[in-house]
Amino acid sequence: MKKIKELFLKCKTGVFYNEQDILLLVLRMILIILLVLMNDNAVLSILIPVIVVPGLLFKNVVLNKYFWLILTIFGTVPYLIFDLHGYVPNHKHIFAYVILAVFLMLFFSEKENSLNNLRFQAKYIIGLCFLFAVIGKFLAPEFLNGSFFEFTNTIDPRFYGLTSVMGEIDMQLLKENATNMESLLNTSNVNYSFDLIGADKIEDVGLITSYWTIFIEGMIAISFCLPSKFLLSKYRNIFLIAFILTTYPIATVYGFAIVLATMGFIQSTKRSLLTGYSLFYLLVFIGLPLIKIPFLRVFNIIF
Amino acid sequence: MKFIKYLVPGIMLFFFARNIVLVETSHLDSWMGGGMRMFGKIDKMLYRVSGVNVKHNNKTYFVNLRNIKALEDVYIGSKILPSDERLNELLFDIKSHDWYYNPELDEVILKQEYQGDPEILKPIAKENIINIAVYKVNYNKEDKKVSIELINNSEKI
Repeated sequence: MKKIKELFLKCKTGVFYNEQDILLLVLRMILIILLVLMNDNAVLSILIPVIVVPGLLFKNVVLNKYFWLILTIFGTVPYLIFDLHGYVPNHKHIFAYVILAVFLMLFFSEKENSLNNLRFQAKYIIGLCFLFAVIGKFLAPEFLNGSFFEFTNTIDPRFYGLTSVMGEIDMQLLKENATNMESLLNTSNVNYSFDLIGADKIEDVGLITSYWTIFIEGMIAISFCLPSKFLLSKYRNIFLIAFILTTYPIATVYGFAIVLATMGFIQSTKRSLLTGYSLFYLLVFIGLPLIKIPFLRVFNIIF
Repeated sequence: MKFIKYLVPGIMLFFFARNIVLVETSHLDSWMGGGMRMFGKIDKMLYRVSGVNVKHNNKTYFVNLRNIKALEDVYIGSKILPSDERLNELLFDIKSHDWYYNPELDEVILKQEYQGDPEILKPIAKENIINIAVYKVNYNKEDKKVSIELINNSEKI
């Protein structure tokens, strides 16, 4: 009981930590992401482990600015320069932004101020990312009228757990949608069409999900983009945590979730202090492989 | 030096603006190009259909590029940004391959992807490769039907 109290207190007050150690932890978290997910082509698959592993092992390497210059080249060329030629999802763009932010920090910041600089950039990368996502939703009429989630919840197998529970739809019927979609994408007949099974049963769910998404993403955008002196900015981590908890157990977007947790971690640390929020993001970073478990389907089977 | 920390947010703004412009003018998939506009539009490259229209014996065949390994880059590139300029470039690439008609299956194929008896194949002239066309998935909320709708093809150039 005493230990639980101590743990609770630590989560509330945070854990004091050497600023240099926080920086090392942050840089290694970024390197782990690159090692696991920066493997889009044969060149990156071979070279990234060769570059990143020494950085993970040796402190002098991970703090070397020329090491981050090399990573910046390997990050920006495929993800920012040739990004319209191959499949580069948005979280890969964020990888490039984060690498670039570290590179700028190491090259241009005074040593004692470098982590503060990175905190600032992480806060604005998150804020702008969500601001663009919200504007994008207002530019998509199908999102505002609920069609987007009606379609996605019944077509994308990642959402089948939620859809079958909320709409009381047989999972086998939803799988038929996935099969029909495959036929559509493989078609040689441009007049091919099919009926979306179950869409009529989740119209309300589609609308509620749409407006919840706009609300939570909008709050993240505002609270992260506002300067820290504003009251709403102080609640930014609560909004981001609410987003993580309500999104990633359902929409398993591993690459985006892990880079978001890392940036959340960076901006939530204070000078020589890991806050309770930092500990949460760190826990998310470590526990993210668990999102491979289809929680809602497991819940459905048990109850 | 004080302003260096605004460089990354500035780059993000640039990519967002570029995304809006290219989506509106060149049919860029709104989920691509660093616009962060994920989970908004139904139309995304993963749900786009790209193929070649080929004429043979007074009939037009639509050859879906999805399962043609040799044209994987063409398939992906055409779905991400099916602009007039890119489709024209890709059509040039497509025409550089040897296309044949398979009478047994009544379909047009790429010779290097075919593993059966080559004797039965009939060559297709380059001028019979009409265009490359890209379609997006269309979901009709009223009748709950999913179909495809033409975004662009290389004919318009």
